[in-house]
Amino acid sequence: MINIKRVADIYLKEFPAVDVLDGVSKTMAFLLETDNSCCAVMDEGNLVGVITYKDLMRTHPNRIIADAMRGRPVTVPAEISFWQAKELFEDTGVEAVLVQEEGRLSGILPRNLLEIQLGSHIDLLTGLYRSDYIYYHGVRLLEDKQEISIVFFDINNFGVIDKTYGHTVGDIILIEVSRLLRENTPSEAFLCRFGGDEFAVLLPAYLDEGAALAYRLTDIVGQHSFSHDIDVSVSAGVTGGRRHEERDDDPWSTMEQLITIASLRSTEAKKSNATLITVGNQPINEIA
Amino acid sequence: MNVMKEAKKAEIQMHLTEFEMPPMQDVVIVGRNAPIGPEALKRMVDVLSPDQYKIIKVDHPVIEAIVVRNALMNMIPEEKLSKFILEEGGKIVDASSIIKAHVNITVHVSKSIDL
Repeated sequence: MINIKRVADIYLKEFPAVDVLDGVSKTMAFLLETDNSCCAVMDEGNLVGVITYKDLMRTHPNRIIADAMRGRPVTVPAEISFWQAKELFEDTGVEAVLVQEEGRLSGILPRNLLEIQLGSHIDLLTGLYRSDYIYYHGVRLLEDKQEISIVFFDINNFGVIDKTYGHTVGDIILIEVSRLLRENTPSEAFLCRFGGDEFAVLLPAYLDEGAALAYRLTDIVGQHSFSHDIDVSVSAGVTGGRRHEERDDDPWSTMEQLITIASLRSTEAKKSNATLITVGNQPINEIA
Repeated sequence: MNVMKEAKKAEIQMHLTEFEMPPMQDVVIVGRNAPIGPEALKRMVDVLSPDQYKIIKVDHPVIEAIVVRNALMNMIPEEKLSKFILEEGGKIVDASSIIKAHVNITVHVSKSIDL
């Protein structure tokens, strides 16, 4: 099963901290000295909040930390995934959150630490997210009982391109295909490089919309003039469905099966030696 | 050759007044960039005069909070009193100031009774 990293895997259990009665000037000096952009705030031994350098810059230097903290601190359970934490940072605009584990506040997660960790989930060559990105969003949509469709793309004869023109040119082709997919994928969809010459798009939409997108994207790639005038095309497989009722089984395994089916469909399309789309209509209640 | 003689003198003045307990009167208005924030004031007040003052954080462009003596709010509802303080205080307070205010409340009661 896919392993999605959780906040529990990365948050700081040992962290720099100041007291709620410490002064703003002293705390600024402390953050500069320890090379941190934020730190925890303690009150009588309890973790009560987070103070950032930005908060301090906006506050009169004579004030105490209790008067420099902005709003109520945001607290997250340690079990939430990276991706949920990322969304929360984007929604709230905070620089750090408190982390709760086993019923008590036990650490902090600064935004920059999460961003560093998210970097390892981004494919360095193409700048696209890796596969766990669409697993997370797929599971989230399934749990919300939303219709989803998955489009899986394979670059046709990529091995031949690699052998004929070399890996550097192969990489350029991957970058160009990624750019085309990214520029033409709707904003509500989720795109990732699944691995090698495979890409996947998750859509919160009915299967026919997924199929329409697959046709459109394969057409865009097929029409594009690639470097070295290499003829590049992609095959696509589409699947989709919805969980129609409350189910006890694991949405992660449902998602894995859907991706496997989409991947097999794209392989079938590839083997048929044409830019062909085969659509596998999967009622999820039957396969899950 | 003339030689200048220098002499240094110091003059000491001392003014003695009674320490106000607490060092505030009925109301303190705290500006958004004041050197002392509402939490610091609350802690000071809680130590010096426990249970006598309430901190009310307000949504105002210049004023961050007001500290009000509880006794006043026994005479006038909190929202009416804070509205009055913000209206009048907002005219003279800037974001970096802390203003203390003396507030006198006189309640006039008139009743008719059957004889």
